[in-house]
Amino acid sequence: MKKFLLILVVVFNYALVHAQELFVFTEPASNMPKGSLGLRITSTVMKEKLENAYNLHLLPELMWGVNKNLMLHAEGFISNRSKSMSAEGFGVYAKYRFLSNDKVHSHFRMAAYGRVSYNNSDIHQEEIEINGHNSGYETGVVATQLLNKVALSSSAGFEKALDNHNYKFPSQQSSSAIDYTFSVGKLMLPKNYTDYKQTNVNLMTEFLGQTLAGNGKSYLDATASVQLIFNSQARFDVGYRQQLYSSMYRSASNGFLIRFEYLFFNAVK
Amino acid sequence: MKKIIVIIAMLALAFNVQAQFSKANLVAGGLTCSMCSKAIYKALTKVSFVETVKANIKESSYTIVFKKDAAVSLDEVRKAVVDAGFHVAKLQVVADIANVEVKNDSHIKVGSQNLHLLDIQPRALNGEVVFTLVDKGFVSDKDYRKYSGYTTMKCYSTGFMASCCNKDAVTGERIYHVTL
Repeated sequence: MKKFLLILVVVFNYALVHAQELFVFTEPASNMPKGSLGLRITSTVMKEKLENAYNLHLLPELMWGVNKNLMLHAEGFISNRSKSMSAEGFGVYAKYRFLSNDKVHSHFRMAAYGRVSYNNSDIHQEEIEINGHNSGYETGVVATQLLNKVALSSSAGFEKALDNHNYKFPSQQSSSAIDYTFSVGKLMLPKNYTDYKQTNVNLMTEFLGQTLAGNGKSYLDATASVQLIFNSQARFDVGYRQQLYSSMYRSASNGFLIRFEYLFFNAVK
Repeated sequence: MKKIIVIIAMLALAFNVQAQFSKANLVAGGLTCSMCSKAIYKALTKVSFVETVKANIKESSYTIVFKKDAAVSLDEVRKAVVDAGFHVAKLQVVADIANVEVKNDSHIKVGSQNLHLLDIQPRALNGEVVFTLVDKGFVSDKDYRKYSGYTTMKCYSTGFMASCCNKDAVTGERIYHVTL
């Protein structure tokens, strides 16, 4: 555990030299270009705490840059919760950039986001996660600062869980939560940028926290990720998420995230 | 006689074509990633009157060559960058000028483009001239305020010619403010 924290600190210090904001576990305040379409497949492999098994989730996602300020995502939720991989629901996500203070080598941007999702799986933990586990909605704001190639991003949001199709939300659990995140990342390679075909290697570290509004229980996770960007339009992320502390019950908090994303520029008018 | 008129017409046309913006150098701001840079590159290549775009990723700059005889709109160039999610930090345009006397705070016509010159000494322009835009949205807010001090004409804040401009001005036409 100590070793892990040490690695995080090292990664964090590196990140302050040259940062990138295409974060792996969170979204930055910046948007996709107008008229572009993105295809994203995210999978998470989390170790189950109570049994010797892995909780697999697959989230196919279609993303659309509607205009310079608004982007929309439509996503599906697939998991092995019911023993075999099966479709469990879908969600819609929107992000609107409402503040943009750009200078040549820096920018400060803020965006508001919201997500509504439906899920039919059983409710098996106190943690609320409407991105693949609970039916419900969330809304919040995210601020991203890029300053002399240092990017920092932070978000705060409200998340509300509803009943999951046939499964009532347990009345003894808190159905709403406050979420907060802090992210930072660094471009490792290439050292010299000359061509869009050069593969980028980015390192990120992010902190993800939640406090349940009903009972004050909370958790805080740290993540470390490696990101490869090919041809400046395909993205491959591998991240590891580790719980730092938790006072709420979570069925599978530690594990890997793997994502592939492809961006189609000028795809729609 | 007819022949002479045709030759004169062709010469006039040739002069006019020559006087159009031929290329531009654009620096985009607010980005560091190659995906962001490529988004701007792709957006610029989509602009109808743009022939080629060459990107310098490290400097976030783009060399744009305009199509011959095409009507160039610098506002459209700017819109492409803004729609990609970023802003224009600097834009320079190049035009071939055949001996034109210019002075500070005055208007000239380059092809079909109206230009208002700011912060310059009186001189003759001849050959390939590089104009640097100083309009709102093409420079930082700080530089915009700086150049505001060089003119009292209202067209600097509106971007359109009005009664404040010289007597040849066509009210309502787009005018770009530039320095040398």
